[in-house]
Amino acid sequence: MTTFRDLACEEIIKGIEEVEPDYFLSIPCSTVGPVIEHFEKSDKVTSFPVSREEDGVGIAAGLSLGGKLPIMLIQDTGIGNSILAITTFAQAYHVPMLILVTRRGGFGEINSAVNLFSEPLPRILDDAGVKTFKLDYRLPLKEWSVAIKQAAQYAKDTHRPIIVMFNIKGGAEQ
Amino acid sequence: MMSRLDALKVLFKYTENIPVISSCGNTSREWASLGRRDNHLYMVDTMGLTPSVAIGVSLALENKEFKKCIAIEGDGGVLMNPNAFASAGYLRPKKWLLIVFDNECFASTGGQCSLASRLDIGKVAQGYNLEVIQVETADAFEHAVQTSIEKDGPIVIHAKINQENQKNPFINDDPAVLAYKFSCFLSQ
Ligand SMILES: Cc1ncc(C[n+]2csc(CCOP(=O)(O)OP(=O)(O)O)c2C)c(N)n1
Ligand SMILES: [Mg+2]
Repeated sequence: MTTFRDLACEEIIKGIEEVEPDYFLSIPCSTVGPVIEHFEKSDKVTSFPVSREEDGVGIAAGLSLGGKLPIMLIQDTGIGNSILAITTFAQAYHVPMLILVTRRGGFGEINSAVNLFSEPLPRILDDAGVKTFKLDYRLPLKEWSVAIKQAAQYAKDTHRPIIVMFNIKGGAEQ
Repeated sequence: MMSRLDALKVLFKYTENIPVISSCGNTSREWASLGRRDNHLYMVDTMGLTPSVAIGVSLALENKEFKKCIAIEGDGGVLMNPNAFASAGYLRPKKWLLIVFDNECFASTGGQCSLASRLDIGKVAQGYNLEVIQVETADAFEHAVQTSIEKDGPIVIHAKINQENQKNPFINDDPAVLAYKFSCFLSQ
């Protein structure tokens, strides 16, 4: 049976492909494994893993300053590893990039610690003034690829990092 | 032993047309005091990030004329973000040249003792499979800069410097303007 997760991954792949980024950087989250595996094999996009999200934001920023379009896919805990780079570099220096983030915490989460970061994260990002869009069960899946495309364009047009969060576990808003 | 400013004066001669990204604190301030250039990106914060940003720039410039993208970082900054060593070791960006100014202290904040006083950053970089050139004098530094600009990277110049720290004016420019000038230079 095709699960919500499978369909969401297909839609995320479609969105990223329609953006036609030059580079795809990632640190895996089990929920979006198929997305990363897809781009590892792609010959249209240069894909590579990063060691820590802060380093990833720095590399993505360098690519963007050099005229390339990077997309980075990480899980939301990785924002904790990179928020200084996102604010005092990407945001302060007006460097566009699209950061796709899978949500942890909330219904369906079995880990007993990550909720302490994942639950307050949207408020942390709002307070830091980092523009974030949230996709979950309320937005029909077929619209997710459209949202990814618009978010990449919005990052370029407004000269800053844009975060798009996916709740792939379904269930209630966190 | 040379000072950071001695070394920066040497580097300045060779970087009229090479993108350089300098780290926060007094390094960027001393670097800017030698003369502002659009191809020099001054970081005003985000300690430790210059090597990562330079990886991205050097990948983006792979098919362009620029020989290198140079990152300048302190020992404190490098040990705050050794992840850039991992990425450089893995991605092997040909145009990436990192210069580490190792004074075994956090000079910009007053000279407090740093971890580099008991660790060899050159060996750390070698552990990440990076080519390392270790220098202690201005002459050796100049030679290292000249040769590594002409050679394929990734390369790390590990330069031991003394603890002198010039107090130059703060760089208070709008970072958006600094980045705009830099990326206009890169797009030519
Ligand atoms: C995350 C963070 N912590 C602390 C500081 C304060 N700070 C600014 S420069 C600096 C020292 C940097 O040391 P090093 O990289 O060795 O450069 P040096 O000044 O010795 O040349 C510190 C600790 C900072 N800017 N950011
Ligand atoms: Mg130091």
